Amino acid sequence: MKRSMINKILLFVILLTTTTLFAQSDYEMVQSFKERYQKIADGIKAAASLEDVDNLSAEIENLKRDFSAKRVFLDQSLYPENFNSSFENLNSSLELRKEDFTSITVLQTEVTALKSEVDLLNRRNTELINQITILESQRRKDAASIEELQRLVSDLRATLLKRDQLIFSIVDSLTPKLAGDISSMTQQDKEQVYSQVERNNLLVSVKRSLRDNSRFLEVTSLKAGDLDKVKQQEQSFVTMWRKVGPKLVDVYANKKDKSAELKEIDNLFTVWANRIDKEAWESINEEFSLNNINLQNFNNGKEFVDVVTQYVSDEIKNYGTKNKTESEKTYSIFTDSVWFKTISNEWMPYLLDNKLLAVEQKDAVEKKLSEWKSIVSPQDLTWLYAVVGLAVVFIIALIFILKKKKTSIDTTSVQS
Amino acid sequence: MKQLKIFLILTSITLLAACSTLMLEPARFAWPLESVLEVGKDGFVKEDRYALSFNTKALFFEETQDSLSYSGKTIRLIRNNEGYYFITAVDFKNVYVFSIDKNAFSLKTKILISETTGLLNPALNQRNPFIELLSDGKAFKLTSEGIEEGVK
Repeated sequence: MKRSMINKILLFVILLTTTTLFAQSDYEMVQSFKERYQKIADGIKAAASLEDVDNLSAEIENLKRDFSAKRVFLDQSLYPENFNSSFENLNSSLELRKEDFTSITVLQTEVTALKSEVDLLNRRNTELINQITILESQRRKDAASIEELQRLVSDLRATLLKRDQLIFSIVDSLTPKLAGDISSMTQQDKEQVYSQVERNNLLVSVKRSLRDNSRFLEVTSLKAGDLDKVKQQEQSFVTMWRKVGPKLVDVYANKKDKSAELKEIDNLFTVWANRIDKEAWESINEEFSLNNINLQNFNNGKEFVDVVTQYVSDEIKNYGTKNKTESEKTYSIFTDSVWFKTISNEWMPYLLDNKLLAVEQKDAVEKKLSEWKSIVSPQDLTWLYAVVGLAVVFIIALIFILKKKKTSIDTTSVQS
Repeated sequence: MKQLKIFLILTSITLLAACSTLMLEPARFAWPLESVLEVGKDGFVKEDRYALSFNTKALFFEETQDSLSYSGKTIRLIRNNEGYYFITAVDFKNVYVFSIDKNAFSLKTKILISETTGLLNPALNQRNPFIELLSDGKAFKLTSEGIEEGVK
């Protein structure tokens, strides 16, 4: 009896103690729910893989289970949300994030395929450039080599273009992340873009492409139409890079060695653009040299005008001293075979469109050519002499007729 | 005399009828959860859910006798089913019960919890018909009149 009494007292004390211990602030409980809710919501935003998303799904279920006994109270306290709407929000965020990762996985698969294709094309381009370099040294030796060279240049041009397109596709895969204001990107977002860029060797590929494109121009001599296409390709590349380049600079702000890599890319763009301009002048010079007209090198519009006018001036000056036939032949080749056939027809629109040459500069050269023409083949004046002679004969005949007519009138009047 | 009695009864009935107030009942004013509000630099607190704001300077002065003691403090506020507001804060020795007056809170009861030490980590729970005060592992059941049940 006494023992039973002691047990009852002990039980009462234990109950009292536990009740006091478990008395909890409702506010703290709601805060605890809100904290766990927020942690999951942040986790959804920061999830880096489908696995993370799946783990968060389990956490949502745990949260729901842990607080389901307080559902009614939370309905009243989670204003303006309630228990159900809170979990609906979490689950819909989770589903959206899951879709992001499904798309990202598809894109990553595509990008991996693109990357291996880029690697393949890199190797192919190197082979082609080497072959072209070898053949370029034999260019004038035989027709077969020239044909082979043309085929290789055409192949190289196609593979370079294809590789650039692939790089554009890799950049496109980054665009959703880089779209919008970069300043609104969290450090975590930036890290994700950084790892994606690194994983796909994007910077290396872009540098390689820019170098190969410049090298292609070094080892080949292009026609105006081809160079125009290269110029368009360069413009597309520049446009693409302007979209992502400055944003990547921000993403790479804390990576000093990588920042230098981005600057190097900017320099390579400048090298490429300069190389395209230089290519035009070199190809034009080569047109002259193919016709045995050896001009000094020129790298811009002013130098071009100076060199050409100087050459023409020298030819005009030497007209009397050189063999006349040779001078006329030089004139004919310069004007008919090179200037009017190729330069004026093919290159001049390119030079004027790309502001490499001004209209006034073109007119100055053509004026000089007219001057040269007037020396080499002066105008034939025989027809002028004939006209003047005929006119003189006509006038004399007219005077004679008039005089004769006047004499006959005088005779008639005397008789009458 | 009888006529006077009848006159008085009729007059009373008429007056009582005229003085009766329209009542909407029952009404439940209980907040499910206490609000924890930071006191601003101007002494005001603002409760967003119930669109409520008021000046707490006088409350802190009443509790501490220091006109600047509100600075950086947080108050805990809950309303019971009757419509009274219960307010307390860390280091307070009392829970203040207020009713609503014209543009003001009017003190109804000041419930002394501890004469010696202030509340270390008070919390107010809605336990209709009581307001439960938790502090330092102790629980008090409060009404607008005072402590209904002492320390459990």
